[in-house]
Amino acid sequence: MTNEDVLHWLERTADVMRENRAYLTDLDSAIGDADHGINMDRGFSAVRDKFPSMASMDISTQLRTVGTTLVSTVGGASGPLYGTAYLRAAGATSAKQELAPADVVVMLEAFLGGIVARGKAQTGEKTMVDALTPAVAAAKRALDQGATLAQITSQATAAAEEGMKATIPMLATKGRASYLGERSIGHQDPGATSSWLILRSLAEICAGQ
Amino acid sequence: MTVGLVIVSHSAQLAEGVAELAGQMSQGKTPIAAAGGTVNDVIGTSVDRIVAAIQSVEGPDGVLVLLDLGSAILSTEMALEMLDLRSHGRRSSYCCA
Repeated sequence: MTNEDVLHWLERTADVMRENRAYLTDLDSAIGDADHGINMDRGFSAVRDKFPSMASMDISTQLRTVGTTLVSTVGGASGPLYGTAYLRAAGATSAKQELAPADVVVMLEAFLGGIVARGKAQTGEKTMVDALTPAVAAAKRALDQGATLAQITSQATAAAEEGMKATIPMLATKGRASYLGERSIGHQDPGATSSWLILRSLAEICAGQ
Repeated sequence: MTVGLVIVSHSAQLAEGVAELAGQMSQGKTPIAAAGGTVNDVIGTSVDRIVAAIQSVEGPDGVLVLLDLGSAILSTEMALEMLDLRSHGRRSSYCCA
């Protein structure tokens, strides 16, 4: 995976956040404060403005730019959460000109580590972590079995989708949705959904290689 | 002893209003900075704004950051982390108002 591929992933993510702006906000209106789609689109629109200057950056600098941009523009809790995730991903890829499949898995693990560290969340609390944790586990399994990057990211995305759907019956115990207690049950978590979209964008870029 | 105050809110107007009121009550003796809203003054919180506000009122006795809710907590934690990375020995704490 080259810096050009990473830029394509980020471009795809920005498009997907725009396409799913209403969907994510609808999910958030059920159990949050109805701004997740608006916030993610605003953050990735600010990232989109930096794409021209990002073409010449190395992978780590690209990811760092995304992290710092999201932190200052998203506005909601997903800003510091995803901001930390991309900053950790940047740290995990420093000095790499290209990412081998194993490097991509290390990057995804760091991404998840950033969310966990910032949000202090565990699985089963109806958060982004419920999509990302099984995704990273699936990516590691696929890597151990000698899978290609396309297979690794596709299996990670499938696991994230399953994890996202598993948030529907969960009782939220972290984040704004936890204020609703039992009323949070029966709704899909918006943060888990945006995490799945980020991974799906990666898998789409890797499939096209 | 002088502790600087930072008011963090999702609303820029709310943060500025609290800072204005508290400023009058303290008769200008306490440095107070507002860090409300995010870019383009939409509802939200911004780590950059919080970092800048803390730096603007930070004195030898530290800073107290007062927050509203939700992302204000995560943004403030991140801002404090970023400041600690640059200079150790700073004193700051935060609480939800």
